[in-house]
Amino acid sequence: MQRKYLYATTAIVVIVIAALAAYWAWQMQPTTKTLDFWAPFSGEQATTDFWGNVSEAYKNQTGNTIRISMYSGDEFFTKLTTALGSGSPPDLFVTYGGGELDTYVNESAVADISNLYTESWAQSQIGAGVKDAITRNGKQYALPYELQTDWLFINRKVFENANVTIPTMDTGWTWDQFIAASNKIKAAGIAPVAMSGADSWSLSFPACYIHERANGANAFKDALTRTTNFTDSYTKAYSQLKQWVDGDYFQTGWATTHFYDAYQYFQAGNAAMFIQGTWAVGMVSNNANMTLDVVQWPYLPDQPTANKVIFGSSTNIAVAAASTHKNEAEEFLRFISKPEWQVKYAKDTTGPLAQTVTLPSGTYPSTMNTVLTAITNTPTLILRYGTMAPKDLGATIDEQNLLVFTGQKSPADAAAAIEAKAVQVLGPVH
Amino acid sequence: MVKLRIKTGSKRIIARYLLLLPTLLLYFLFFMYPVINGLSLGLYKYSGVSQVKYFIGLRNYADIAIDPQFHNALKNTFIITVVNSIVQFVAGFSLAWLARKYVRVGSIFLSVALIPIVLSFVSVGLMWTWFYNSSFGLLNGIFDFLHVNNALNFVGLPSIPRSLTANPSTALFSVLLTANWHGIGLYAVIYSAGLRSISPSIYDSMKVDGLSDLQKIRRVIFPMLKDTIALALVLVIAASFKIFELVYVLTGGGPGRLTDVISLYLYRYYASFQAGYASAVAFYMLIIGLVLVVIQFKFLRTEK
Repeated sequence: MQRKYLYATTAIVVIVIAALAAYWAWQMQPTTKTLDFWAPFSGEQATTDFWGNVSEAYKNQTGNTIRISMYSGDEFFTKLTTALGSGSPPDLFVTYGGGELDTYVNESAVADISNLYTESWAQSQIGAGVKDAITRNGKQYALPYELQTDWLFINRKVFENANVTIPTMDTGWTWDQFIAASNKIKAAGIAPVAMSGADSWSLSFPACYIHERANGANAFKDALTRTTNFTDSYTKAYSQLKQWVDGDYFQTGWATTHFYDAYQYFQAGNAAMFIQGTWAVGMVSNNANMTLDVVQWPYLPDQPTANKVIFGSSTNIAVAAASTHKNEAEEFLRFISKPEWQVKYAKDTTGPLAQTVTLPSGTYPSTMNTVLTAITNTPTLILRYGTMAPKDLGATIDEQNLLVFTGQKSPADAAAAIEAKAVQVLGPVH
Repeated sequence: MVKLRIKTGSKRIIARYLLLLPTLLLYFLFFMYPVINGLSLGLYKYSGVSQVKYFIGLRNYADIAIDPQFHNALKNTFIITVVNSIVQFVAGFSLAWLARKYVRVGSIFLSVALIPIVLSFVSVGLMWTWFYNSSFGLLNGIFDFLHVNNALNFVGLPSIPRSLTANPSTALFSVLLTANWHGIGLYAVIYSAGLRSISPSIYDSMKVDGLSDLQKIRRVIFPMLKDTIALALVLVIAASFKIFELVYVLTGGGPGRLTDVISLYLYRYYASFQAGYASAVAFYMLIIGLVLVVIQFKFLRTEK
């Protein structure tokens, strides 16, 4: 009997001690919070450094830690999907808006942060265009941070060596002039265009422009709203794209070259042109031997050059609906929107800001200033089609771009595949 | 008080099942449940970012079955599986046989062949990407140094493309070459262990009987190594069927989708918010994998 009492007393003492220890641990836990922030900028050193600096400054001011995880594009979406689906997402994450944000909003995966937009700094810094891109049903679901646009970048030295005139941003090239220049460069033994066929997203840049130039700025939107089909416009665009590819204007091995390798090829002077987003400006700025120039994508002969259209997308930061630190996350968004951090971001990364902040002169390299001036003079800025469309349809469009580029599908078949997916995702044409 | 009397034999049976229970529970939890759940997810339009799902019946399964891109990925996966099985069996066994026959030189070869095994597929993929690179790759450097293409042209043969990974006719070959370079060492070691497990007296008696190497292998060694060969084949088939990282890094499934494999096809759909479709692909993979296993078991049973 006595032994039984001994056991029972010991058990009670252990339980009491454990409870006291748990209470003590709970009391002692830090009042500061740790927030996770995921972004698809792996390998972009300047950007990674910036976010490291800003999170350190934020910690010094608030005591809260921002744990930053950088991933590559595909890896980012795979991990984010899994994290969101399992109910344990990062507190903050990057979104490119468009169909991707539609999914998050429709499935209540992102928090409504409209309250931020009522604050004076947001009203003065966030313009209507970028605000619209993250607004759904009158509510705002992300903070625009960067506005990347797509251009035809030029290695000036290669052009000069090949004796080819570079057009000005205002005049631009017609398609025939572009092809003539490409032929001249090719004859000089240089690849006219550095292309990265291993990354289907990068093929979407010329594909979007070719579609727009062939069919006009509204053709894609009309097909998305199902007032027209995708078949006709894409058959036309892909036919032109195929002709361009068949002209053999890309570097050897382009079909399995990744973006960064294509960029290396371009900046080493082995290719004359590179169609990319404005991030290329920042990448090239480290190369003192290279002079970068930029022009718009060529127009078809019958297109008025005044009808300027530029493709791009904003990089936005969303707060996860399942985050348990929403207030701190919003505080962080306020923090990074402070003009001093915006200026630092522009300086450190040369990334074009989505928010309107006065920048000291000399913040950007001259090429970026040319781009920014061109954007101001451009009446229409369109979200890249793969981003604008619902993500599953966008993936199909990117996939068909790739298959036409590599000659594995005819223009008509690829266009039909896009339309078939559109019928599945959006329904038939009205 | 009523006491239940259980016979000793029944007690033993119950005890056996009780001992098996934790394993069965874990098996159900971590294997059967995901499989069943995956099968059911394939019946939905499901992005994966939340629990929102729309039931669409067998549409995902039907779409996959008629998708030419899936057929292409499946075809490539089968080619990789068959070629890897044959090459790694032949080369692995040959290496092991040579290592047994010429102990000193053979063991050096065996050690060298084993080195790639310790490297991850990602490292191997990156290394071979540089090796194949059309501008600064070692392979083209060797070809240029030896004037291989000039020699080929001289005898009327076409040149070897500058970029093996980007050329439609050689892209899959470049994947196969890399995969087999990586895999041969492991199978050489497995076969080598098998050869060592055979009693030296058998080797002596084969020598006394005056059998040639081919006769030794065909009539004595293969029948004795049947279990080892079966194990090695199961491993190589499983590894080849699930191949992902190497293709992802080396060619990205390209040019276009010419070197696409099933796991890469699945991954692309999952990364574009089509988790329901990707689950259906995974279920197809499971079924095909099961069929392969069943065929293999049947083959082994017949052999026994």
